[in-house]
Amino acid sequence: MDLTFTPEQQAFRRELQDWFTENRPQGRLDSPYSEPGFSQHMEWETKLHAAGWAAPSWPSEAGGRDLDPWAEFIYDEEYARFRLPERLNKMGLVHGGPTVMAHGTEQQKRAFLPGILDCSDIWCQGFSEPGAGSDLAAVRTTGRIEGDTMVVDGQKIWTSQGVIATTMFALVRTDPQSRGHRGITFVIIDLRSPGVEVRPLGQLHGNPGFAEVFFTGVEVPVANVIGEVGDGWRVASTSLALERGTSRGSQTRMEQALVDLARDTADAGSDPRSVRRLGELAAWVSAYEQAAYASTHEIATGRSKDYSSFIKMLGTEILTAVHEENLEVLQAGAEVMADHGPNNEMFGMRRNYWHGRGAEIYAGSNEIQRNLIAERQLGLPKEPRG
Amino acid sequence: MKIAFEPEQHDLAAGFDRAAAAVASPQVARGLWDTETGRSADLWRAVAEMGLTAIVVPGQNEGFGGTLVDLALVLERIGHHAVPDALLEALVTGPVAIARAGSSKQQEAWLPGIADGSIRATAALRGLTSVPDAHVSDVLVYREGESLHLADLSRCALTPLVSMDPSRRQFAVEVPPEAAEPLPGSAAALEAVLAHEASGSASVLIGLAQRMIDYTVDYVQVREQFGRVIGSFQAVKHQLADATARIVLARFQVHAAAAKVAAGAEDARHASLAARRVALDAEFEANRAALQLHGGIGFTWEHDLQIWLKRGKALEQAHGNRGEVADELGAAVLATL
Ligand SMILES: Cc1cc2nc3c(=O)[nH]c(=O)nc-3n(C[C@H](O)[C@H](O)[C@H](O)COP(=O)(O)OP(=O)(O)OC[C@H]3O[C@@H](n4cnc5c(N)ncnc54)[C@H](O)[C@@H]3O)c2cc1C
Repeated sequence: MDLTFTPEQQAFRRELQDWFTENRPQGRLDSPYSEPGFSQHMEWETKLHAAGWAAPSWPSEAGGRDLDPWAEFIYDEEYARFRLPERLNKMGLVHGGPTVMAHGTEQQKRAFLPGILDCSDIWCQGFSEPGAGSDLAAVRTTGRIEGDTMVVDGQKIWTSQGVIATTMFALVRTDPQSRGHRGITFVIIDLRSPGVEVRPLGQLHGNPGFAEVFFTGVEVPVANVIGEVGDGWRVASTSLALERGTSRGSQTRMEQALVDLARDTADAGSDPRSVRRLGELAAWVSAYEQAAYASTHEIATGRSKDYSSFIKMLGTEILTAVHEENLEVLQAGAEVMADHGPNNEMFGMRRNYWHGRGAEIYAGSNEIQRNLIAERQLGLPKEPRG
Repeated sequence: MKIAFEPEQHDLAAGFDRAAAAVASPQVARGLWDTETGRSADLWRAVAEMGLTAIVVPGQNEGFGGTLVDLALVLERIGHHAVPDALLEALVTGPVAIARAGSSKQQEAWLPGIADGSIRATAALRGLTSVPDAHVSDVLVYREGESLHLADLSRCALTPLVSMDPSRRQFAVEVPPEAAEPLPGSAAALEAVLAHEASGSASVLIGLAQRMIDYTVDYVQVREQFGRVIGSFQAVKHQLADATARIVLARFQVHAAAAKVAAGAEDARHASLAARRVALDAEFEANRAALQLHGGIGFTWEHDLQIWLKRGKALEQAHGNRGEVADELGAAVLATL
């Protein structure tokens, strides 16, 4: 047992810190959903990419640096520590791209991965539908295969980044007779194709990234199917595990939230109740950080014991608890947002608070994670399914 | 970064499991409830024969010169088997305090005997009103303010107390002034000794918590109501998932704390407090869920679950309770601002 980073890893951390210090954008960027904001984000992404820092753990053929999982972990920590802009292509980087790496052909990797890194394609995840959220196997968007083409009809909803995305990795039902998780296909759809309509959908904290996406006779090359036609459930499992498992610097952001809470606790006079609650939360934040380390260790040693449900469920709940306590400490001041009108986007802790509440829902709600833990980790009987 | 334990550390824990099956089974524990000492010589012999008494004793005092990491998995198994003896005090807190804070004379007097099991230590870092296993121990390490002291128990007066857990043996100890010896290095060592106690006790709690959940997972797969096993009901599954998730995350912290305490890391105290707190929460939730999901059978005297339930409740208070630990950690966080 040795919880220290190697000298090489420490050197890598310093190299990153130096680069970030020198190159980071000054001040807060505008929202990527505004025109000036989008260009500012693109400028940052281009800079990252040119220096090889877009996704250092990705294969060099795709524009990465082939770095190991610990280097990626350190990268994510430093990225979060410097409070750098949220990645424009988060979905592509965290789950879409890695799912293509895991299940795609060489040709597909060459076709899809570089565009994620240089942001010429911006990816979004099209899993949820109005009638298929937790019960993802109820997807009804259809993909009718006609020769080399798949014709897609249907609707996706709650698509994060949908308004700026060019590319969606989606689940479609390719076998009309099928029910449940059979007959579903994982396919990559170019949202610039005719027949695609993206309608912006607001989020309750004012972040305008959400969308509904409608497909009417959209033609997609069958070559865009990842894995086999009809085998999409298996491919989606990889993507979902990546979505809920990776910490992506979340432990660092949690620590930052805790430090912010500590400051507000001190400013409010450090009453004994608040100090006690701060201690409770600090303990769990620390445990979460260790869980992030342990899960990286699993990946780095190729053993991949699956901690993703634990990390997703407790991670989101610990973070929410930290924010809840921050609201509590601010008391009546908690509701007052400095210079934003009622219809504007929230920033700072209040935005993070609501985003955390959303995180308890997305990537498989925490109730679904509890079911998964009970069934997969504890071996209890499966949920009855309709 | 190496998060895994060494094979020898796993082997030691597995060896302890084999020994405990014979000398620390629930039947054995029940048999001891009504005996005068409540303690089994077989158990202590097995512990000494495995060399557990020597692990943290330095090499120059006939020990193995090991660390808390070498014992972390064994401490978890001690919780798993609900071993009645105050082994945290005997194997970790007592010897570590003497090794770190004792004069060379004190170390020579006590540590070789501790290492070979002929001398048994106990510890009281939170007052002398409730000292575990004082009746079968030879030497007591205790705290007064910011300093540590040592006393030969044969010169102390013991008043037995009745514990909620029939396996625990607690005593109010009176140390006559002439029997008290200060441990000279205690001002510097106190932090480390407290960190060993917090971290080690967290390991025991995790073992207890996991065992209660293991028991319960088995039970809900055989008990049927409404024509189904109760483990198929979501209300039951979610309680077990919650408790399990807490145990899993807490265990990561507990292992990390053991490593930091062993390495004397700068944040060892902080990590050990966090470990104790999350382990307490995990045990608390496991304790609650285990009895709730066992229903009536779990409430019967005949069912062994009570051994773990009561031990858990006792150990929630013994080495700093949830509130105390959180207060201290919260203050520590504020101090870093
Ligand atoms: C901020 C945010 C971003 C999102 N981004 C995306 C995205 O980019 N792409 C995408 O595809 N989707 C996205 N989603 C959608 C998200 O995946 C779904 O909202 C989620 O899976 C839940 O589905 P639902 O909303 O239909 O809720 P429902 O499934 O209707 O569930 C409602 C409630 O019932 C509970 N419930 C349902 N079934 C069970 C059960 N079997 N056992 C116990 N409880 C149950 C749920 O936990 C939930 O609390 C996003 C959602 C949010 C909030």
